[in-house]
Amino acid sequence: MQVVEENKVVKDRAKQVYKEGFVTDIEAFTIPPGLDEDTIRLISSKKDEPAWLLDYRLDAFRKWQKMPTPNWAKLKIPEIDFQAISYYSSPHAANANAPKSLDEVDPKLLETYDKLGVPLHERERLAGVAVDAVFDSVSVGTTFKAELEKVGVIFSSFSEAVHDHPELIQKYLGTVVPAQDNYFAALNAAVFSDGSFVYIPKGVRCPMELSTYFRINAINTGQFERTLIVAEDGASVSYLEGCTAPMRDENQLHAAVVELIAMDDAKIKYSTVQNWYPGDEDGKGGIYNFVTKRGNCQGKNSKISWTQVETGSAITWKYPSCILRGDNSSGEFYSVALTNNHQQADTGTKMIHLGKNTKSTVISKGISVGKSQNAYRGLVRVAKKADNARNFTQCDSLLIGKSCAAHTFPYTESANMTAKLEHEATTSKISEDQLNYCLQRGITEEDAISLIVDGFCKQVFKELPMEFAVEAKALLDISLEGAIG
Amino acid sequence: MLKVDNVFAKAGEKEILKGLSLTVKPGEVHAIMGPNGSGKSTFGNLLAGMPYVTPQSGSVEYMGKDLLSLEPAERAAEGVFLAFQYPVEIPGVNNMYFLRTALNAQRKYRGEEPMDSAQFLRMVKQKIKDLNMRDDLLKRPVNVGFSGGEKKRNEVFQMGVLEPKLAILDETDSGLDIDALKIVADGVNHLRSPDRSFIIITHYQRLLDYIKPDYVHVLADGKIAKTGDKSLAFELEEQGYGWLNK
Amino acid sequence: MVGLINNWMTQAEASLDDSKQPSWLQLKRQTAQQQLQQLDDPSRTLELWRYADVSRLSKSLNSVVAPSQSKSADSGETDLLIVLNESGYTCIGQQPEWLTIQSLVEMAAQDWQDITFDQETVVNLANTLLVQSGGLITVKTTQQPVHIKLVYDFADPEAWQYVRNHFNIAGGTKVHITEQHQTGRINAVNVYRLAAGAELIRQQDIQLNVAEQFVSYNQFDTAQNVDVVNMNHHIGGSLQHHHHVVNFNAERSKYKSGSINKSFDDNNITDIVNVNHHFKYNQSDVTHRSIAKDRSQIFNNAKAYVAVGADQTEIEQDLKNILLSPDAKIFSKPELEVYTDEVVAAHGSTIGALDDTVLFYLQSRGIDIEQSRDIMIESFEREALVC
Repeated sequence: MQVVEENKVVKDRAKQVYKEGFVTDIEAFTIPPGLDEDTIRLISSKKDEPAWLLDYRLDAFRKWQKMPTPNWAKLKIPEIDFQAISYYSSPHAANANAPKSLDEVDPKLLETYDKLGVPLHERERLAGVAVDAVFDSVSVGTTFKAELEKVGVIFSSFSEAVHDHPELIQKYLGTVVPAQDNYFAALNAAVFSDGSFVYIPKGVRCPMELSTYFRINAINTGQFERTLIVAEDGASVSYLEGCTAPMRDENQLHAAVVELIAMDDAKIKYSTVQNWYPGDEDGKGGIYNFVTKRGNCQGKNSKISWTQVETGSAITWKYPSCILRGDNSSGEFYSVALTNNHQQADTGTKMIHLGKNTKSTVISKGISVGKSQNAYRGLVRVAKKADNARNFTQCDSLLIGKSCAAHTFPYTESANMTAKLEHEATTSKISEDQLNYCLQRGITEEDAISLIVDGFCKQVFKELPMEFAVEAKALLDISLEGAIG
Repeated sequence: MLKVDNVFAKAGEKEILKGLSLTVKPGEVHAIMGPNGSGKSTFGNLLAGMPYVTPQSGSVEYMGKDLLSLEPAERAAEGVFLAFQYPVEIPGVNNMYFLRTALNAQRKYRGEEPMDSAQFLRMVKQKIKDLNMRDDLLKRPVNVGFSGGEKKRNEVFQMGVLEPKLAILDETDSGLDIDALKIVADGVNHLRSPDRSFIIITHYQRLLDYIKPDYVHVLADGKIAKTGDKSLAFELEEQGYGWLNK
Repeated sequence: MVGLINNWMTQAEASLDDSKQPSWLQLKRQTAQQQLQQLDDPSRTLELWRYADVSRLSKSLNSVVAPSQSKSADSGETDLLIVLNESGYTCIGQQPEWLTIQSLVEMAAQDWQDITFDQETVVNLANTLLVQSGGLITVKTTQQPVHIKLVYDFADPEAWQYVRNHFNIAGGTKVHITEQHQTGRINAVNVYRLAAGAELIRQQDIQLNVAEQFVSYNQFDTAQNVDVVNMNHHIGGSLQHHHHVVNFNAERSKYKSGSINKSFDDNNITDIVNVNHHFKYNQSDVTHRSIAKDRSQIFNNAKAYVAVGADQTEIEQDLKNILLSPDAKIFSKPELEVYTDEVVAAHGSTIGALDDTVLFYLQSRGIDIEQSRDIMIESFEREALVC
C-alpha cells in the first residue's frame, strides 16, 4: 500500500525543474573547437598575456599530452573528445581585458545574473558580499572592488590580476597544484581562461565575504577557471563560489583549479555551492565537473576550511585537500554531496599532515537517490615528523531508493606513533522509524524526507555562511525531488 | 605522613597550583573544597603522578620520601591511592584479574609474596562483605559499561583491596544519588584507621555529612585560602565561594 | 626484482609436463601460464601490494633462517592432526571415518575450484601455475564439532611451496579447522566450500621468524544458513600477505572474523578481507587489531560489497591499530561498496598509540609501566578474539 503511494509521489515529482537551466542569447566571441598549441597561443594573445604565462601554459600542455587518461575507479565516463570542445568563449567581442565598469557591461549579462539571484547593480548588490561574476571564459565584473582596495585586499578576475599584479601571480601560480599534478589540472594550466584572484595582506581581516559566481552559457564550451587565494600572516577571508549552467543535451566540461595559500596565523574559509546542470532524468546532458582544489597551510597556526554542497553536475570528481605544513595548522572538510537520477559523484578530501600538532576534521555526508552513484574517497596521511597530529573523520551515506549506490573508500596512513587518527562511517537507508514518526505527526512524506535529510546534513550546513546555508537547503530540496520510492 | 610545601604546578600549559602547602598526619581526614578551576583535581593528580601535571617548584614529602621523584606505580606501592574523578574503562581486562595484578605488583615492590588466586578470591570475598558491596562488578571488564555510581563504587572497592596509607578521593561524590553516596561513604568509613589518612576532594559539603573530616581546607587560585573544621564546609554551602574573591 | 613472472615461468617449465600430474591439472596450469604472460610483475602500484615490499618475494632467505622456534605441532585438543610437507598430506594416527583426503593427483577435476585471479592477485595466480601439493579434504559428520589441525611443515625453508587446499564441508557439519605454520616458505590458496547449515571455525596461525614468508589467498563460498568464524593470528615474518574472500552465494549466512596482526623488526604484514554480499539476509563482521613495532609496517583492508538487491544486509568493520615505535607504520582502509538500500553498514578505523589515561590508571594502581603496556596490548588484542 505504502509502496503504491510512494510511487505516485515519485511520478508526480519526477519532472524536476532545474530553474537555472535557461540560455542567455548573447553575441560571443568563441574560438572554434579544437586543441593544439595554436589554440593556447590564441587564448594567451586574446588575454594579452606576458610571455612567462604563455610559456607556463605551453609547458603544461606538453605535459598533459604525455599523460594517460585517468583511471576512473568507480566512475563511468564516456570518452571525452578534447578536439570537439571550444576552449574560449567571451560574451563581448571586444578585448577581454579592456577596462570596464559595471555600467558598460551588456545589460543581457546583468539580467542573467539578476535571474540567478546574484544582482551586480550597485543598488541591488548583496550586502556584505563582493561578487566576481564569471561568464563562460571571462569575468564580466567584480563588485565592491574600491571598498576592498581601501583595506588593501585585492579581489579581481584572474586576467586582470595577471596585468595588475604579475609578481604575485608569478610567485604563487602552480605552487599548490603543479601543472603536472593530474590530467585535468594539467589541462586547466594549459587553457585556463579566467577565474578569481584574492590577496589579503598581512593582518587584514577581509571586511566582507568574497564570492565568485560561475556560469557556463555557450554551447560546446568548456570552462577552465583558476582561482588563487593568498592570505598573508594573520590575514583571514571567507570566500564563496556558486555555479550554474543551462540545460543542454550535450555534456560540457568544467575543469577548474583552485589554490589556497595560508601563511602564519592566516585563515581561509572556502565554501562552494555547486549546482551545475546535472543532466535530465535519463542521464542525458549535464556538466562533467573535474576539479582540483588544494590548500597549503604553509604557516604556523594557519587554517584552511573547505565546505561544499554538491548537488549538480552529471559527474563530479573532486577532492578539496589540505597540506598541513605549518606546525599547529589545521584543515577542515565539510561536505554534502547529493546525487539523483544518473548522477555520479566521486568526492572526498586529502589531509596531509606534515607539521607538528596539525589537526584535521573531515565530515562528509553523501545522499544517493534514484540511479545515482555517490562515493566518498579520502586520504589522511600522517608523515613521520608530524608529532601529535590529530584527525577525525566521519562520513555517512544515506540511500534513498533501490537502484542507487553509496561507497566509502577511506585511506588512513600513519608513520608517527604520537598521532591519533579516527575514522567512522555508516551507510544506511533513510530511517523508517524517523519517517513514520514524521508521518504520524501529519508531515507529508516528501516534507519528512526533506526534513530528515536536512538533519542529516546539519553538521555541514552550519559551517556555511548564512545566506549560503539557506540557498543550500533549498537546493537540496529541489534535488531531492523524485526521491521517494 | 604527607607534607606538601609551597608547591607550584602546571596542568598542561596552564599554571594551576600556586604555592600550595598542606600537612596530613596519620589517621586524619582532610577535606579540600573550592570552586571549579581552583586546582582541586590537579592537586590529586599531582600526588598520584599524572604525567599531564608537572611540578614547577616546592616539595612533597611522603613517609619520609620525595614523592614527586617516584614513578606513579611506585607511589601506589608506597600506599598512595587516587580514586579517580573519571575512572577509566579498560575493555577486555577483567576486574578481578586487574586487581590481582595490581595487588601482586605492589606486594612484589614491597618484597612480599604474591597472592595466588585462591587466597586472592578469599580476600576479595571478605572485602565485599566488609564493605557491604555486591560482587556483580568483579566479573566484568574494568569499568566498561558501568554506570557513574558503579564506577565510583568500584574505585572504593579497589581502595579496600589495595589498602593504601594515603587515599585521595577526587570528587567521588559527584553525580551520585543519595543511595550510591551512602554506599561510597560507608565504604570509606569502614576503611578509616589510625594509620590511614584521607584527602577528600569535593565540591559539595553533603559528602561530609557522612564522612566527618578533621579539617576542611578551601582551595582558591591554586593555594589554600582558608582552613577550618567541619563548620567551614557549612559556611561555604551557605555563602558559596564568592566571598573568597573579596 | 626484475622478472618475478619470468622466474615463475622458468620454474614452471620443468614441471609443466610432469606426467605424474593428471592432464586436467596440467591444463589449468597452462591456462595460468598464458594468463601470466599478459600481466605485469607485482609492484606497489597494485592496490593489494601498495603497502608491502613486494621485492621480498624474490629475495633469497639465505638459509640464515633458523627453523622457527618450536611451535606446538602436537595435536593438543584436536581430533586429528594432518601434516602437509613435500610428500603431501599425512594423517597422524588413525584417520577418522568422517574425513576423506585426496591429494592433487587423486582428486577429481570437478573438485578443483577455478578462481579468477587478475593483475591485483597476480601473486596468487602463480600458485595455480606452480601448484605442487595440497588436494581435497572433505569433512562430513553429524556428531559433535570436530577439530582438525593442518600443519605446514616443509623441510626446505628457502624454496617457495605452492599449496592448494580445498575443504568441502558437508551440510550440517560442525568443524573447527586450524591452519598452522611450522616451517616452509608458503604460497597457499585455500578454498572452503560450505554446504547448507555447515558451521566452520577456521583458525589461521601464522607465526614467523624474522626471515620467513607466507602468502595466502583464502576463499569461503557459502550455501544458505552457513556460519563461518575466521580467527587469524599473524605474527612476525619478513612478509605476510593474507587475502580473505568471502562469497555469500545464498541467503542467511554469517561471517565473523578477527585478525590479530603483530609486526616487529622490519616485518611487512598485509591483511585483506573482502566480503561479497551477493544475496539477501547475510551478515559480516570484521574486526582487526594490529600492533606495529620497530621498523615494521602493517596494512589492513576490509572491504564489503553489497550487490543490487542484496537487501537486509548487515556489515560491520572495525579496524584498530597501534603504533609502538617511532619508525613503524600502519595503513588502514575500511571500504564499503553498496548497491542497494536495505543495508545497515558501519565501519571504523583508528590509528594511534596506547591511551595515556588508561596507562596512568593502571600505573596508579601500582602496576609498572611495562606491565601496564602489556595489559593494554593484551586487552586490545582480545577485542579481535572471535573464538
